[in-house]
Amino acid sequence: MEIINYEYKKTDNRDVIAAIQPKAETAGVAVKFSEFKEQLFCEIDSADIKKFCSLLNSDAELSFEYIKFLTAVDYVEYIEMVYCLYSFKNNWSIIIKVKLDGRKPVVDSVCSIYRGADWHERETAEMFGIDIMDHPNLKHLLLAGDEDGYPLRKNFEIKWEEREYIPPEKFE
Amino acid sequence: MGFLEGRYTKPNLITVSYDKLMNAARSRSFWYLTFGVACCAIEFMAAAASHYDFERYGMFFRASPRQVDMIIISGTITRKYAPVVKRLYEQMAEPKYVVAMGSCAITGGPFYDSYSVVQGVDKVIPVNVYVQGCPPRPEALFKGLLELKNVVKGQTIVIK
Repeated sequence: MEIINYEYKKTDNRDVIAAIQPKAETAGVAVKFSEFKEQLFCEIDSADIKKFCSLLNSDAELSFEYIKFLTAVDYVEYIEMVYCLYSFKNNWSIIIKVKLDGRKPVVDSVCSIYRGADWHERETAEMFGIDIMDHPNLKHLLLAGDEDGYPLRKNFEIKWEEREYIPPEKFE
Repeated sequence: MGFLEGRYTKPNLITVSYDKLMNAARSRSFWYLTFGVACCAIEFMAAAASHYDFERYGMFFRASPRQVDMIIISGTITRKYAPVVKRLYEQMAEPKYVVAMGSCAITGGPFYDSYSVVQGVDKVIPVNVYVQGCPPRPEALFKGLLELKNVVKGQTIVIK
């Protein structure tokens, strides 16, 4: 086994942009970079997410091989998917943002690229009602499955008649 | 033997009703289920461990619901977990008793208006004693368990 000693380097976001931009252009992904409190954000189109993630993961120089977190945000007009990626090799951290249609959100699964995204995608799907395409096992992770709606959407309301709760006879 | 010493030197007879004898025995030997739900279970474990010690009241933990008299619900019951609690309760042999420990098990507590929480374990199974607190200290749990003793002493088997 090869042991690699990564030395600590302070991240400069200009380096990250300079490394990603030409490779993304070659792959045909339009990336819009922005920065907030030293954190780099990449905004891309929802159709390109799988292509962009596999580029970041498989490229030897970039090697964003770790997904820190994956979630969604409901902005009422639209829903935004958020992917936090990390590169151990370069100590680079980026956040990818993807805008989805608020009424019918559909996005490709990155589960085939990052195995760790599996449960995160399942949770995001049940909490926000996002249709994650090509996910191997998209069933409920945390919820019982008898909720009326998606709990983390802004328009979700608890129905108070649910207080008279009768548990189902069968459970998994 | 203290106060009994020299008192019963001759063969003697004690008369007592059957119910009273049985209830005295039952209320002093609660066997409870090894079952912790959430953070109240930490206090529950502290009460069961050597410092506070359940066993001086004859309480002893069993790992199977079929061998226990009492179940302590020590935490938040979520909608996904409620059927499991119900199944555990159904597996217990009669007579069976339930202690709801802490705010979450009583009403849902701080998670009262959450999408995933059942507002009290009494929506799922009948409860004998409620122990309030968030979480209750072991002393409070003991108070509740001594209340449960009174519940048992009030019950009758022979006289209906």
